[in-house]
Amino acid sequence: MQNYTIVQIGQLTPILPVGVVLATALVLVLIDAFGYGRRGTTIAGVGMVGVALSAIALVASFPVHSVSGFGGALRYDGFSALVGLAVLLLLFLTLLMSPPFLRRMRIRGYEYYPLLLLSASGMMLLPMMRELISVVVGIELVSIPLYILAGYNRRSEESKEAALKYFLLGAFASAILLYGAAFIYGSTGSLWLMGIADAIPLLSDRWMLLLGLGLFLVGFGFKVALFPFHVWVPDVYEGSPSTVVAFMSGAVKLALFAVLIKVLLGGFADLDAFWKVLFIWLSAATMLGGNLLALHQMSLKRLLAYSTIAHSGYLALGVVAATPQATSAMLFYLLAYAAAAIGVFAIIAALVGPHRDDVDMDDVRGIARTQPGVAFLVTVMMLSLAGIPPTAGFLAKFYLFWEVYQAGYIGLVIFAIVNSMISVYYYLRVIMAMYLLPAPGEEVPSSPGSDEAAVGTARVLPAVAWHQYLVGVVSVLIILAMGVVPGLLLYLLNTYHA
Amino acid sequence: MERVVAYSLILSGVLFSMGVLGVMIRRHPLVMFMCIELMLNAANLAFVAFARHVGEVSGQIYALIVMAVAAAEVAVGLAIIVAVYRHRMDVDIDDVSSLRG
Repeated sequence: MQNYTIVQIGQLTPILPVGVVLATALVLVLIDAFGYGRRGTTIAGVGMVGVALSAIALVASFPVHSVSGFGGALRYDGFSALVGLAVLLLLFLTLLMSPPFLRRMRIRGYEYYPLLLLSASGMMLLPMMRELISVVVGIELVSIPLYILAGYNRRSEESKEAALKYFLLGAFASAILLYGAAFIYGSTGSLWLMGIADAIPLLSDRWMLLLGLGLFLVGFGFKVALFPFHVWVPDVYEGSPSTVVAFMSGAVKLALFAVLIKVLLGGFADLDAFWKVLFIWLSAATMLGGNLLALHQMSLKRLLAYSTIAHSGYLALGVVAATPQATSAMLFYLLAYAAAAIGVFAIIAALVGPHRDDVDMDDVRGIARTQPGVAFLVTVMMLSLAGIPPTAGFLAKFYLFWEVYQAGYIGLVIFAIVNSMISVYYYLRVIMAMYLLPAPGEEVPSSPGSDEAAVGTARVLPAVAWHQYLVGVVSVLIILAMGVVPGLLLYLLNTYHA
Repeated sequence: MERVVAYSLILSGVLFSMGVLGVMIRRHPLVMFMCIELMLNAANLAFVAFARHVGEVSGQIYALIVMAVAAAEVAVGLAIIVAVYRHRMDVDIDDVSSLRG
């Protein structure tokens, strides 16, 4: 079935960028071990150089035609290269904003940086994978460093609790994923997507395969936070260090949705009637659940956690449509979401206090007068998350919904549009708090009905450090560029979606 | 399907269900984690049984890979549980709830 060949060194060229990231992670461990990393900025700096080198290697070896390696277990194409570049950019921005955050939270121990790089290497590998055990191992490579990072703020009870919950539910999901893979293997005799696709038409009875695929997708549902399996997300987002959340909110989604669509289209295209129905319900429930639960959150990190669940729901729409165009629309959406999410969490990481790694809605009141630049950046990001022109979020939603409409799911599109209108409410609440409500120190106006202004628990926010400010500016620039001149990116996505 | 394969699959199904129920019912993180290990080993057993059913060795190799992954998970998981335990001296998952979930 497969012709296994000895891996020659030339075949490793396509995964050189991943190798650079892994090697950089090891170098960072050594720098710390030899005592050069006392200040953390050195380690972050070397990490950023490594990430830049990896990005250069990736661009230099950008594949015009797709290349198979490792007997077909990896397939390296333009799609995986684009995902890899996006992950590298997110990683770079995370490394940039981390040192001041770690200093303020008094987090020592610089395994933080190598762990980020290890997780990113898994994210770069995932969209290339064409074999289910590799996919599972890749997901573990992404998740295990993130379990540790979620609990990295050792002094904080919340952070350790987040790590415990993330770990228990993540491991639970991995076990379900594996059990599903075992049944897929048992019924088709292969875990290679090609082999599975070849075996499906020959099967006389499919219940075992459907059971396996169902379990596999439930495991995925946990990992990408689809509705009935989303319970860990708010707690993990609230408890984990903000910079870690900044990285994982966008990058994990990017890698997992990329591999999910490849697995479903590559191996299970014949069963599309089954998984499309599943994803119709999952996406509808996820959009509605995420948006409704987000409406009355007071903590910004929790609000964004529910918003990320809602965005998973929109992305699951792309899985329902499952056309090549919908795949590139999904990728565009993922990039738009990741750009906005990393920006918002960078600003949150800049505003947290030393004792509590979170920002409340009350805390940002009146920030438009004390730090107008920050308020403007957050406004653009929130508008993008809500999907209001001229931001990337609007175009991404428009493009994705259009492809789903083209695929013939009109009811689902209407439901999604209603949902995004609901979501505008809670994003605007943040903007309103920043611009219209008085700052904590100011006189409370005597207008009746402004209950939110009457609560006097808010604290004075620190000024935003230039690192995080820069990440915010980059994020806003990407959002506006993708929203106003999306031509080049759309061209790339449409050329390399297959 | 061969009889030995069928029996192994039934056993693996029972182990997996015990694991899932354990994670949902038991409240001690360590016990929950042991139940997750039970689920992983149920998957291993299924892989090996299916390898015999399909007449291929790759299922047995998958089981080895799963063991390696499980070992990595144990290392991280136990560390996290110990970190939580050091503060509280008694871990019940319902008490670990400063985050409203």
